[in-house]
Amino acid sequence: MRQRISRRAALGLGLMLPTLARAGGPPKQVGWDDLIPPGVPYSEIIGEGEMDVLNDLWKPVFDANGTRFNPVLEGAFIRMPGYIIPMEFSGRGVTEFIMVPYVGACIHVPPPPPNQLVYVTLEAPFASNGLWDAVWVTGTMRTETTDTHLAVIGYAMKATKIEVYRW
Amino acid sequence: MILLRLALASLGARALTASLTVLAIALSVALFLGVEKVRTGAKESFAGTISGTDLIVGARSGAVQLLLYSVFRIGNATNNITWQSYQEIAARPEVDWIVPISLGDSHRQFRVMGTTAAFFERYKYRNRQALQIAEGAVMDDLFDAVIGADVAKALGYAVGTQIVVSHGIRSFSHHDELPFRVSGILAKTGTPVDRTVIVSLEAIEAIHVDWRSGARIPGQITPEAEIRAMDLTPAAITAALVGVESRMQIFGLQRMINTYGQEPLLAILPGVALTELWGTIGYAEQALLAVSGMVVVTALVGMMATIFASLAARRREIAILRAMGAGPRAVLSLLMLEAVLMALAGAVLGLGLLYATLAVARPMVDATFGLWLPLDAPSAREWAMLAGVVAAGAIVSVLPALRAYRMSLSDGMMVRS
Repeated sequence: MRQRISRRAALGLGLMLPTLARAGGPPKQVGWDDLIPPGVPYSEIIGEGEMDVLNDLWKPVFDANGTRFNPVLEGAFIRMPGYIIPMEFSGRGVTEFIMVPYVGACIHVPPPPPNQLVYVTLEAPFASNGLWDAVWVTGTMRTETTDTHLAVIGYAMKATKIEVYRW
Repeated sequence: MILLRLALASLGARALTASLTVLAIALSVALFLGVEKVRTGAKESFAGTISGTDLIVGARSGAVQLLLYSVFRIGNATNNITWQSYQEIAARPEVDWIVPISLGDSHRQFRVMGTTAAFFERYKYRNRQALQIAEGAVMDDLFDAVIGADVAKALGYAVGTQIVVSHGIRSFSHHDELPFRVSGILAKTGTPVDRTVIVSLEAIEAIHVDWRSGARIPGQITPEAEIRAMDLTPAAITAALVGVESRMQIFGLQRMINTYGQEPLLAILPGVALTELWGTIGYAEQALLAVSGMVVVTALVGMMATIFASLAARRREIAILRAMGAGPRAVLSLLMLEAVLMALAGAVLGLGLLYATLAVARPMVDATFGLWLPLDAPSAREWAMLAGVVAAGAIVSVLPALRAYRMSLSDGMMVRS
């Protein structure tokens, strides 16, 4: 848990998002905390779940807070950092991926809740260096899109630009 | 303008050496770009082997190993998934579709895969392309088989051919009591499906009815009619391809499968496993690139050598230019212009050579190596490489050009004894 928060703090920039840039202007920089609607504590998002004592496993059940999305982000032109979990490829690189706040977490930790994932579709393939490189993704955010073949429930982003994240 | 005319005329006067230099550059450029094409083609074929599948489920082993045996048909499964676990996963609300796969038998050098009709609908490759039946139809009868394009070609099979499936990946132990009939041949895909014989899941059970502990029970041959009447629901399968309702649920489902209590199972994201696998074999890619880069360097150094060598023959020419009032800058630009022209001609010729070769060799490369090379316009990266070759041509010519300029007047005017 602690490790998770520190990682999130490293990536999340904790902006308050007073006004969000619409398409046209420069992108608004957004952190992972901003994907959670204001007033919803993160600890509640992780949900209750049950402990499987025999296998020493915590099986989380996300409550409704995990699928609440920040309405301010709908249609917003943003730039945010994250890691790539590749979904579709071409020979020149990844074309669709799920952006996540952390990768390679310990198996005891449940996966991120739905409102901590962003489904990113790219215009041009991005030649990724592997799973462990963070990127900045710039594009327009949508919430609760229904894509024809994806039926995405959650954040989806049409990315126009991807850059390697420099620590 | 006058410089360009002079440069062209001068190159024309030394047509043989100039064209040989251009040819050397052209060959190296063609090789360099060819390596780039092979590299992206290989990656495309590799990355496009599976598309549209969200999770692959198998017995617990490693992500790369599961990917290798379930998709690439390389190596062997470590264990099976019981039919009960398969049913439980299939019943999960997140699961949109699931296709079981059963491996472990072969026909000649090709592997046999038991699956359901849904495989033909759900398995996608390269940008979600679906499998196409080139001839015949999908399995209809229990002993029908659909074969990949390479299987049909290598063994000369047509629709209606009788084939015998063997036990194991390479085998002398045949299931010859129950032959299959080829019902369909798939169109070429450039994926391991081309080298696969596909039968129904029930058929895999059927051919093992009289088998116990890895050998056929001697003397026992259950008649075909009796087998057909049996319940052929498998007890276990090798792996399963899964599509989820929403990709946002992938991680949840993956964790549920990975922490499944009844049996050690593993669910992998094909994209992640492909990336890991490419990461381990990607060094070959770098090596190829380095070698072809060295070829280009060699050609450029060769060009520098020819320019140097030609200087001796051109002392008079340059001296006359200088005597007629051509400034140092003019001599310098003339020589550099010649080099750039040669590099440019080499680059263009190399590009033409590459595409001509590609157009001719593409079907052969595909048939021999199963590598489909794209015949598309050069990418931005390739244009940059070409521009780099021309720029490098200009740079390497600076040295001989400077020398020519320094020596030109005194050296050229003097009559040597």
